Order: sequence, then structure tokens, then C-alpha cells
Amino acid sequence: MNVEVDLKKCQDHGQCVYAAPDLFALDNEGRLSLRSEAADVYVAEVDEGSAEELYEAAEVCPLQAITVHE
Amino acid sequence: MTVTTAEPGSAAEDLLPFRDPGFRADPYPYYARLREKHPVYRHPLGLYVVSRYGDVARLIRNPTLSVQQLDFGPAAPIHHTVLGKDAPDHTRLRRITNRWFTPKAVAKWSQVTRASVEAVLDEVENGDGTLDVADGLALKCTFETTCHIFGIEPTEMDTIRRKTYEIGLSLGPGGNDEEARATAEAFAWFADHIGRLVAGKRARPGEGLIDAFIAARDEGRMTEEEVVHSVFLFFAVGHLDVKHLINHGIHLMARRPDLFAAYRDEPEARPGIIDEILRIDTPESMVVRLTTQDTVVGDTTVPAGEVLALLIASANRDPEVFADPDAFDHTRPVAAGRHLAFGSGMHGCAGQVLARAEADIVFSAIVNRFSGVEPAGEPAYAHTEFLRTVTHLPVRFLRSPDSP
Repeated sequence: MNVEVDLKKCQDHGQCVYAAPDLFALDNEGRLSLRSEAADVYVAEVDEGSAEELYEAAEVCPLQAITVHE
Repeated sequence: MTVTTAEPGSAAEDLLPFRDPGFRADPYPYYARLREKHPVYRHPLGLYVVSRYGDVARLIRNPTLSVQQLDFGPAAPIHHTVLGKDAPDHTRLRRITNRWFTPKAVAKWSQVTRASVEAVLDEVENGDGTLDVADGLALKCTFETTCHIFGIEPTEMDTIRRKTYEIGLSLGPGGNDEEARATAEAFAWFADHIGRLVAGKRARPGEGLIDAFIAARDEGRMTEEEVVHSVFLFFAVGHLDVKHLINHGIHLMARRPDLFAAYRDEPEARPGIIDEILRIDTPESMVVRLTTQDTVVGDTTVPAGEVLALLIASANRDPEVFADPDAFDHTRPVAAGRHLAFGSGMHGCAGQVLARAEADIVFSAIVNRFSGVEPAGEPAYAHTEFLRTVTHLPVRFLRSPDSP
């Protein structure tokens, strides 16, 4: 499965970090750490074992910036 | 160091006179001067005031800044809520409520808001077409939505509005004994009222947010004080800022028929209009943080243990980011920058999906039912140091020519 994060929508609330600490993190400036890897849209493969965490992160994002692709 | 200091006791001018009526009526010229000449301003009260967008946007996400170590004075009970806690307590509390304000949940709450708005507008249509929308619409529909989320009947609306305002008075810089006493009394009233609501819920459980808090308390994830003050917090944020977003929007449409028409005719423009209302008339003008280490802002180093006032309302009018910042332009490019009305980062507004939905429900209902809206008297304000407050906003809704 894939995760897609729209970094233009994201405002670094960190809700995804609370929901899925294995997948998301905030950097020292309080910004989503994967911003260093993409400018606009971040796409990555996610292990099926993390599916539950990932869906929770997508659901709780206040900006709805996270999309899960099966 | 380029910290500008107004020397206490000297004739030096206070560049941010929080309690001055002129400042409260229109703080924007003061903000403009700070941004231009004193981007890090040492206020006579001791605060370091930050006014430029770039600095505010960066600091508001800075995880080394603390809210837990801030002295809230008479409003100290706020430390029992997410607004007054750092990680990990902040994380623990925010996780308890994060599923309650997702778009899926908001779609459910929106039905309550819509029913409330339609009921108010039915009465307007059956009456003389005028309404003081400040409490009669903006407060009513947001308060009823909050109560539904809690799982309680919507009672005590006027008292809750008044007591929340009295607590808000103590949240700004400065303050006096009278305000401190009103704040203490307001907290006591809330503790009593919410205590009874919680007891009622324990006797007759339901599926509301208060029930979720009680469950978290019973599982050891919340203290009793956190339950009480979190309910207070949601009562407060459930109406305070969003009510002003709605009031500001209606006020704008009453003066700008073109905006009314744009909202009606261009659904794709609606989110941009709501964002522009938030940018140009930001309900909450500042947030405060405490430095826990030397913190560099521009070419100033603020030492540890100092209070930073981050002026989000000023950042939202920074010409470096928003061209012609004092003009309302809902077509301005998002790429230039996002307004900071909802804050950002870990203390960013968790209810912004709901706030936007509530505002859209009100504005859509108005433009769909009526041909226009116009002022029906002078608005009244009770601005505080940090919160723009519209207390009265009488308007007249104009009937559509084709309605019976």
C-alpha cells in the first residue's frame, strides 16, 4: 500500500505523529520531517502491518492531507 | 541586538498600547509600524512582541517553546487543558478528542448546525427580516452544535458566553484586580455547572464528548480537573472564534454586495472567501509562548524564560507575504502564504474543519435564501487585548424578489 501526503495542505499539526509514530515524525523546527524528502507531494510505500496506524493518521489529519492507496 | 524597548516610567511611547481604546478599535496601524520598524519589540510589560509573518510562522511551530511553563495568572486553570500543556501531556489529551473533529465527524455535526441556522432564518423570514446576528445566529448555531457534540441540551447559552468572555479578559497581557476577580468567579461557575453536567452524564450515560471524557477519566487517561476544564475549553472555543468568523463574514457581505453575490454564484470561491475573512479580520490576534532556551528571532536573541507574544493578526497583514494586505481579496494566490488564524503546529486549531463548515453553512444558507443583507444599525464591539469581539450586529435580510 502507498501513502500520499500533500505537503501544500499540511500545516504540521502533528496529529499523524500521535496516530502513527512509526510512520510520521516532527523535526526540530516542529515541521513534518518528511518535508526534507519532497516539496509538494510525498509518496511512499507502507508496510501492510502499519495499515491500521496509517488509516488512523489519514482520518485524524485536520487538513486531510494524507491519502492512502491500497 | 536590535530589541526596541519602551522604557518603563519614561516618556517613551508604548508602541502596542493593549488597553488603549483606539488600539482596540483598530490595532492594524500599530502592527504595521511594529513590522516595519520594530519586528521584535520589548513591550513595557516585559513581553517580546513578534509581528512579522516569517518570524511568527516559524516560532508558532517551534517545539522548544512552552505553554506549560507560562504564568496564566487568574486563568491558571487553563493549564488543565491542551492549551496549557506541552508534550507529552498535550499529546495525551489531544488524542482523546482528535477523532471528534475529523471531516467524517464534522459531516455529522454539520447537520445540527444547519438545522439550527435554518430555524433561525425561518423566524427571520416570518418576521420583519431583521436580526442581531451576533448572538441570534452566530452564537446560537455554534453553541447548539457544541452542546450536541457534548451530548447535552443547549442550556445556559448567555451565561456561558458571558463567563467565557470574563475568563478571556484575563488571558491578555496586563489585567487588573477586577478582571482577575471576574475570571475567578467565572471558573468557579464553570466548575459547578460542568460538575453537574458530568454527574448527570454518569447517571444517564450517552454517546457525547462528555461521555468520552468520563470514559477516559475512568481509564486513567484524564484527571477530574482535566475533564472539567476540557469541557470548559470546548464550550469556549466552540463559539468564541468561530462566532467572530461568522459575524465578520456577515458584516462584510452587508457592506459588499459583490461578495454576497460571489458567495452565492461561485461555490468554488467559498473556501477562499472564508480564508480571506480569517486573514483580514483574524479573531484571535496573538498567542503567547515561553522560551526555554536562547531563541533567535531575526537578529535578536531572546533569552530563556521570556514571554513571546506572537501577533498572528499582524502576520496575516504582512505585505511581504500578502500583497496589498489591508484589502479584501479572496482571489489572492494561496502559494504566497497561508494565514495563521488557526495557528499552526501542535497547538494549531483542532476544530478548524468544523469552524470552516459552520461558517459555510451560515453563509450558504443566507445567500441561498435571501437576495442580500444590509446593515440595520451600528455594530457594537467589546474587543479585548487578544480577541476581536462583535457583541451586536443588527442586519436586515432582503427577501428574494421571486419569493412569495
